[in-house]
Amino acid sequence: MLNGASSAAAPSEVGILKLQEVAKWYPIQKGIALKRTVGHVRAVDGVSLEVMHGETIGLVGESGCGKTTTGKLILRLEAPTGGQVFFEGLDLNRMSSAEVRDYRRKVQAVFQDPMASLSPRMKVGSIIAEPMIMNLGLPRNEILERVGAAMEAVGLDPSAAPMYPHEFSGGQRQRIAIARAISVNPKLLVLDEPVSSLDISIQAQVINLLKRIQEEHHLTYLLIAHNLGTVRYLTHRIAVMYLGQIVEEAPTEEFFNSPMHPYSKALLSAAMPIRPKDSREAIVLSGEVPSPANPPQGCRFHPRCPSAMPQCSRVAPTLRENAPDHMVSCHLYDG
Amino acid sequence: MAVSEGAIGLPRPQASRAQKALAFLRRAPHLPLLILVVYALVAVFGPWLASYDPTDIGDMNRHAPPMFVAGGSSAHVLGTDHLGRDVFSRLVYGARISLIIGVTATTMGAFLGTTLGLIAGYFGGWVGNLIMRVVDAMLAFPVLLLALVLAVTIGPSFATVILVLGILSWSGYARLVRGQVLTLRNKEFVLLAQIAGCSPWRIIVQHILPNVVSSIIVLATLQIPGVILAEASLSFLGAGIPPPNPSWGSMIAQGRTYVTTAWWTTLFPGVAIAGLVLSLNLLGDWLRDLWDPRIQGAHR
Repeated sequence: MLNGASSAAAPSEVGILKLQEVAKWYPIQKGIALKRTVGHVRAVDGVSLEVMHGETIGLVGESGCGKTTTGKLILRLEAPTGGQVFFEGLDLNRMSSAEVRDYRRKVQAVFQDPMASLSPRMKVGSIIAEPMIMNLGLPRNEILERVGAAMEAVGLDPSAAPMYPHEFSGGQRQRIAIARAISVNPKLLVLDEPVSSLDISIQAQVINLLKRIQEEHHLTYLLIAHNLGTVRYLTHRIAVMYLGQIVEEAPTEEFFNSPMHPYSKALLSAAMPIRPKDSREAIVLSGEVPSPANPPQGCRFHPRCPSAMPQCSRVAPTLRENAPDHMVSCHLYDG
Repeated sequence: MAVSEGAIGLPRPQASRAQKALAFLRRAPHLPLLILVVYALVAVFGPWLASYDPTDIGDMNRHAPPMFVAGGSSAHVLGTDHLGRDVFSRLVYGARISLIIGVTATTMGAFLGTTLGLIAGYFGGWVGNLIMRVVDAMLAFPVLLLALVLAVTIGPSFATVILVLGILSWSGYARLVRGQVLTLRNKEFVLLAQIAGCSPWRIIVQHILPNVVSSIIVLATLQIPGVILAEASLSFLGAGIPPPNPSWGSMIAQGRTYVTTAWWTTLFPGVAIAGLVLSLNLLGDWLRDLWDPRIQGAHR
């Protein structure tokens, strides 16, 4: 599906990806010979999310909140211990092998570290060609042609195909990773911190490249990031994760203008303002993120929450629509 | 964020063919390579070089000194051993035996160990655990004793020595490879290969093995001398190459008793082994660098 640049980037109303109460608990095992499970790390604990075709959704939160695990569940790199992930209406873990093959072509990913993402002993051309070789079954000359086209699409010189990844700069490597991901004309791209390891100036280039590719190919993005500036620029919608759960979900501009959850407010106040004069009063959270192996009772955020109420330590809030399209999981908005 | 994407040029002009050849020669280990070529030539053309049959005791001229020592003659360039056999001729024939055993047994062990290590590292599970427990047992066991028992059971011969030493030397490779696979398995490029739909087999061969080969080569070049020495020990204990046939190890073993009076019977095979070991180690280092495109780039 190679649409021209004229096609609109506006998200459609058709769902492409749906997470339903998805959980990933990793067992904590003790003992050498006879292993027994003494507990679970609840990396992801009941995440529901729907992604529309053509939209960019941002998954934000601090390190260890389960964003990356959620990405791995969507990429079928891990199997969920609870709940289901649907792609185009099909349950990822009940797919036939033909459906898996189709899914492998339609869903690709770009990761944070572009050096680690490229097989160090493969030539760039082969790296970009691999998803096509595995999924498209095209003759060799056509694959070579498409490798060149993909390299041009991301702003690389196709004559660099016989070179090795270590011969490129960080930004160029990330472009190679993007070229590989888009070579099979996927529908969904999982971007796990795609620019965090790049220099600021290169970040802007890669972000603009991602934006242009989305418009040209009518792609859906799931952007996992902790840089709110990047997220604001790229996404249509934002979901905030804390300790394995989504605490707030809203359209991007709405979220930045009127965040609801106390955690989201703290997150926004911690981010550097674009114009220094805009600086709001900073909300500094006390304490550490509790261990996901032993999450707090009630609301998981209550031990650190500046507006905690007595019931917060007893009753877990649920994610509810509080304003149009704006979901929040907090007792402050119960009334 | 009004920054344009910016054009990207070629990262670096490619080095010309002549420059590459020059860089290759500069880093090539001339001496070790030359020494190994000499060993190989001697092994191949041994019968034409040796002036005597290596098992010929001749006129029982025992412990004749080398020609450059007082009392020596040009009849026996490197002297004779305790049975009057020509040391030079035995050395030349021994090169063939030592090299063939060292290379084939090591190749066998490397192949076996790498395969098992890849399986244990990539798939893990109970199969992986089983493989690694066997490795632990192998490393805890005195290998030479096991080799001795096996060799005696099968019956000492050239083929037996290769088989036994090959089978017994796989554990080091398995452990090395498994460790590297465990770290590589979770690297992003392996995850992306999974995402691209590669089969486990393709991931292992295309993405993991090329990153492990250099370590295997280095380990193998370090193992060859060990295998040659193990063969020597087996031969000394009567479970290796059957006696009249020359092998460097058995030459040292037999000359050991006379080292104070007839030092040449042990010194020359010793030097032969040392030269081979040193050259192989240097060559191994060089091969490792050659195999690593990152190091290659840094040197150019």
